[in-house]
Amino acid sequence: MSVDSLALMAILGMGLATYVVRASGFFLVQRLPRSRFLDAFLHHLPGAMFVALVTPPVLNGGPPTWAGALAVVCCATLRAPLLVSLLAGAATVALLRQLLVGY
Amino acid sequence: MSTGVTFTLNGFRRGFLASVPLGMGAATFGALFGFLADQHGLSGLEALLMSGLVFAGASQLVALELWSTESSVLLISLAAAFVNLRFMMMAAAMRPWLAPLGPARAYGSLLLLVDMNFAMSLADMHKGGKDAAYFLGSGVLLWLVWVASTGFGHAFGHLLRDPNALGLDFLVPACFLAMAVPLYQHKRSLLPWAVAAGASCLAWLLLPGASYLIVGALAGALTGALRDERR
Repeated sequence: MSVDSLALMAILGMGLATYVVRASGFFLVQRLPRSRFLDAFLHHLPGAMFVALVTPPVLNGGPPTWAGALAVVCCATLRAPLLVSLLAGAATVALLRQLLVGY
Repeated sequence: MSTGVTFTLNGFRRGFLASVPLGMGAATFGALFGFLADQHGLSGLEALLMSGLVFAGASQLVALELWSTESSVLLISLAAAFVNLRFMMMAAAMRPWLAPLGPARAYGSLLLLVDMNFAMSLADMHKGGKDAAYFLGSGVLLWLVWVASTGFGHAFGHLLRDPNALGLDFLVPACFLAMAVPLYQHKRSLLPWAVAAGASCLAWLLLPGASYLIVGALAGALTGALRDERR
């Protein structure tokens, strides 16, 4: 049980950044006029963020992660519980890694 | 102000107890985070601190994804803010309950704003609920469950051997995919998401570290905002 000082900085940074987001929504709604651009930007940011985070490593992982990603997207589209989607993805990746050499 | 909004112990208790079923969902996710934090080299105390101080699952997973790369504190913090931007909308939507409370109680309650207590509180507000402590009670239950389950997941994570053969290294990207799917609206999301994917891949090839994340997210969201604004 130890805490690396850089890790602590990162955790405090994340906590502060997240709280600023939480508090600013309430702070701003009491003061700022809303703009269409800002609304749309905030609407699109989380999805774009997930896509940007996932696409390069999934493409880079070869056929096992391509198939795993497909499995997760199918499960989530069918509104499977989060845990089911995750296990389906991990199982697909594991299976293909057994079948295909080098991944 | 004669809004009729109150802040009582009874409301707190009602929010706390009403959130127990949701808490079970949070516990699964919290244990998963604890397990993955162990896989990514965080100590138990680091994982607990992150869950306690950040208290936002998606951004904590993003941090794990960035942890192993040479990411700076600034990038990890910025990524957390980006992923959690939806909290801004939620906090804004909580205005009818928070505004009459005064700053200390309003900004104090916002420490524990997450998707689940927001959803619960909004539902109670729509049913005519006037006790804003409901929001805080719900948040406190979810926070306790989140921190405890993180510790549990971290403590038992190391019992699994060779996690990559089991595909467990895929769980973090799988989480993001599963969370992205419900956000997808075909007409509105296709273009910005395609731009985000393309830009992130280009940045992955051309730029160092995890900057592909910021480049892709900004490119996608800006595209979507510029397009929507013109409609």
